Amino acid sequence: MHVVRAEKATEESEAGFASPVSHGELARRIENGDTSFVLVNVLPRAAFEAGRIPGSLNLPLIEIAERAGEVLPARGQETVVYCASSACSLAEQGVILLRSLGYTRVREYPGGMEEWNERGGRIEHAVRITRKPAAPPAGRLARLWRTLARLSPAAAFAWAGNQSLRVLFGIWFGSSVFFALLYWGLAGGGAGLVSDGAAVGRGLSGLGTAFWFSLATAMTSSYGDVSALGWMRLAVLGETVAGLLLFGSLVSKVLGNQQEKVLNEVYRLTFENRLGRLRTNLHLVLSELAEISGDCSNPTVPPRRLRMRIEGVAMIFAGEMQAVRDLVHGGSGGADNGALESLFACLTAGLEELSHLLTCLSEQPRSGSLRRSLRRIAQLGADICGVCTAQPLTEAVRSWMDRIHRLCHALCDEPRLGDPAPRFELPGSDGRVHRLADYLGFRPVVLIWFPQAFTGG
Amino acid sequence: MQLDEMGIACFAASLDKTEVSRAFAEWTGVGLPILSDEDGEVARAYGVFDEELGTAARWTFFIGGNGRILFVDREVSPTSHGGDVLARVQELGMAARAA
Repeated sequence: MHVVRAEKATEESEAGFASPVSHGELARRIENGDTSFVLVNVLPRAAFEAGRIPGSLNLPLIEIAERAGEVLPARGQETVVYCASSACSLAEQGVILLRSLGYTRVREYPGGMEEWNERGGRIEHAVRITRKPAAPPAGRLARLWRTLARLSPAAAFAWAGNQSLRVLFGIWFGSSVFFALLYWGLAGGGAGLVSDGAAVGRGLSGLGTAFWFSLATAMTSSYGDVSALGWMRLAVLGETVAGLLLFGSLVSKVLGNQQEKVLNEVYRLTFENRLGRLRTNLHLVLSELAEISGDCSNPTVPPRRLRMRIEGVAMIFAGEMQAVRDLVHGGSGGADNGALESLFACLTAGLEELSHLLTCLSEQPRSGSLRRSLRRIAQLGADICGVCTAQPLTEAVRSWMDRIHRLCHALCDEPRLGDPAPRFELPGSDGRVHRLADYLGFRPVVLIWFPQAFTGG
Repeated sequence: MQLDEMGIACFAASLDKTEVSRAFAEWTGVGLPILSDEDGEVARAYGVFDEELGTAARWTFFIGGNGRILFVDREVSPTSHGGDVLARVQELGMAARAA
């Protein structure tokens, strides 16, 4: 039988929907609140959560076949797919996969996160999976009402929380100066400040008293030595509320900054701890691999024993790969590039040794357990991708990651999702010869492999 | 077979000889052609060949109209597979594609 790999299956798409989306077009459509298309980020979940183009949905490449129907229910809707940068191939693969799943209007935004970021596009961070429906168009009155409805104490605190320490202090100090001038300048006619039973005058000492009173009020710590009369009491109330908001936010900001520093330190230590443990484990796996490698050329070692040892080490290796993948996607933002580089170098050495061992095993059958481990390694390796990551990593670290990606891919010889199906030409029980090529281009095919006839399968 | 009505070509395949496949098809009365990959070359290309046992693994491949692999079901149950395949075909939207 002849097996020929399909070189490049023809891609189908409606006219106009094969062209890539430029940065200008995407930015304009997002700016205009265009809801006629869905924006899909195909990076792994952790990368998506770290930052994405506003309004994007997350559908990691490896989940497309399983979850596309759930995340993107409308196959006819225009869909724009992107990943990390123009060097990242995940978006292209995503487009191919989605088209094969029947999505007719799929386009790629090739620039990805990198271009979006470079051109100053807004990045969204919070976790949001569903798309909000666009607000219905409304009159000026309704818009004003909506704006007013948003003015709640919670919204005010949220706004203050987003300002920098310097801005907050500036606003707080500015407002207390404003109120001091108000108390001092507008005194008269039954309204004004009273100190020790006497009205505070318009002179320089009066200005000093007004400042003292205003600052104490803005700090929400009234001493009772100065009080207000008439309508000015309302102004004092206003300043107290503003002081509560601004001074409170200022204090919580100072404490929060300290807390953040401590948390970052804790994260860094935890990360280094995990990195260290992982490195120790990998060294153990490496020495085991080297030992088996020695047995590989030793004819006195029984092949069965050799096979079992390779199976065992592949299983452990898959476990370590899982840890590496989690580490890489668990936010290595503060990670030392040097430490990552040595970890990846170690991992690469292990992968090279493992593929060497597999060639030494080539005379022997690959068992189900070995196949499972290799498949697992290949799947995890697909997520370790230097060109895809949005993290601040050096070129050297990225190139190690890409090398790992390739090595993992080569370990497992099974066809993957999105690959062209190997062609076949086989005689069937109906007496005819069936070729996959006969169906290409118009008919989907289901091929059910089973072990043996008359064995209950 | 319902899949046929949906415009989807469906085959079973094993490493059995053609005669065995034919006998098996007759015996079971199964409505789909059983392909014989006697030397296991296609099975190897699909990664289903178990060299130890000399048989194919129980995996089902869903191939789109453009020839690309849409899904590989590696946890096939011999008893409920007919229904499972139908459900998966619908989930992948293969029928809509073929129509």
